[in-house]
Amino acid sequence: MPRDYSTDAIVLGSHKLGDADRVVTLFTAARGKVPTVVKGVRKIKSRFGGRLEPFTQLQVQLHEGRNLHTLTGADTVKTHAVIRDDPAALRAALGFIEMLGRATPDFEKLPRSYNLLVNYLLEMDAAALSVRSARAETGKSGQSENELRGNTFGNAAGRDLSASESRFVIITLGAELKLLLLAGFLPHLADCAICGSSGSLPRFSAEIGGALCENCGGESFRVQAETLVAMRGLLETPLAEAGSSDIDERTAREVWRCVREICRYHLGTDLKIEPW
Amino acid sequence: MFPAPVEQLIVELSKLPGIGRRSAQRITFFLLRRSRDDAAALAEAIIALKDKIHFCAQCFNFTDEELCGFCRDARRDSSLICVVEEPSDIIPIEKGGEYRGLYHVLGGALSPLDGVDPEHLRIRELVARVDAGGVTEVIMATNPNTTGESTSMYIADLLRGQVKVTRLASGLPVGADLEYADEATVSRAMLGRREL
Repeated sequence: MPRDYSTDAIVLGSHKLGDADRVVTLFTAARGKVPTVVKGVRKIKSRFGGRLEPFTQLQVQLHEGRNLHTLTGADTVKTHAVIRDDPAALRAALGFIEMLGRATPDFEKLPRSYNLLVNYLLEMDAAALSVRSARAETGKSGQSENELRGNTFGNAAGRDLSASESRFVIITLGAELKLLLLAGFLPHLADCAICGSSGSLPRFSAEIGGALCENCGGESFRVQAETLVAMRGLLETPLAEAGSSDIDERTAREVWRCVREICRYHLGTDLKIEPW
Repeated sequence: MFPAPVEQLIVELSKLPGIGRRSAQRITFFLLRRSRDDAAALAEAIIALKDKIHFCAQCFNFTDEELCGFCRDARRDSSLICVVEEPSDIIPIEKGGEYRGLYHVLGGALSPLDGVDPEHLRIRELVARVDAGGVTEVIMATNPNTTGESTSMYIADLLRGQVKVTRLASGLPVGADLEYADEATVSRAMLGRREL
């Protein structure tokens, strides 16, 4: 395989390296997740700087190294800046990026996961754009604007979600469930994971494998019937339609709890970012 | 390969930013050739740095007194606070020579992926400075990247209605060619254009 190659990629995140460099995590179409050294990117005159913010879709040229690849060229396909400009959209999207980063190994080509990421960002972009348009139309400002877009980074508990926040969260939950499906972690949602009964399923256990009937409960937590219906619905619904799903906040928080528990069990790690 | 004291110094110097093992070896052998007094002066300077330098009680810049030089300087405009992520960010602003107000060092930027939440930064202390009165404008000078922008938006939301909050302009670096600018920077520059 040639040591220099081109591919489509999406920026997941980065951390500093040395004085002026960064290691940027790219999710590429050709080789999956690729940790990439970008030299001099933190300098003001770097030609890459603005192109390597999270969610940016790029056409990149990479040079293969032993552990890290090196970025030699990048052209922007789509910046997705509108997601970064909206705190609620940003937080939700960072939550999905975190899960994708943890659920996928480095250097493994995963074309379906890449397509999911591309579609997810397009849907979040469209949702954030419509929120921005609505905000411009209403001409609201100050605190009212905050109510429309929500605040991010903590203090979410105990606060009602705005309509726009709910949309970002539901699109994100839909994408996370689809990612669990692709990763092979999808739990039983229509019948009991132990006895196969398809009656009432009031409990959930990631360790046992999903929804449980009351008799098989064991080490599990209680879920509403609506939560399982919502999870099945989000899995069957294209992402483009997920944003208009009628899911209330309590149900969304239960879906998130199930997703987090599945990740905790299968990946052995806690997701840090709640999508709201 | 080397005597233990030489190897130990190489290992310690290699921990410094931008210093690899090869550079650490060069510095070590340079120090070996210098006098004992020179080596002692360097060692004492490092110890003094750790013993005497701490955070300014008001702005959290580095200082060897209770307040840093900027906070003690009565000629500076105390109605302006420029918020930066790290003490090193103050240096280019001072070199620019346009700003004569005070500073506030957050100690980083909000980054949920890295587990940095508002309580890990000195945001509460900034709000307390504004609440204490006398401040007319807070200038957000966090880095122009996702975490820096999020931090600025978060703080602007907290201070909205209490004080004017402004953000450093984003745009093309002086002396660069437009041809080589990335799309995000050009978009920002276009949005932030000014009338001539």
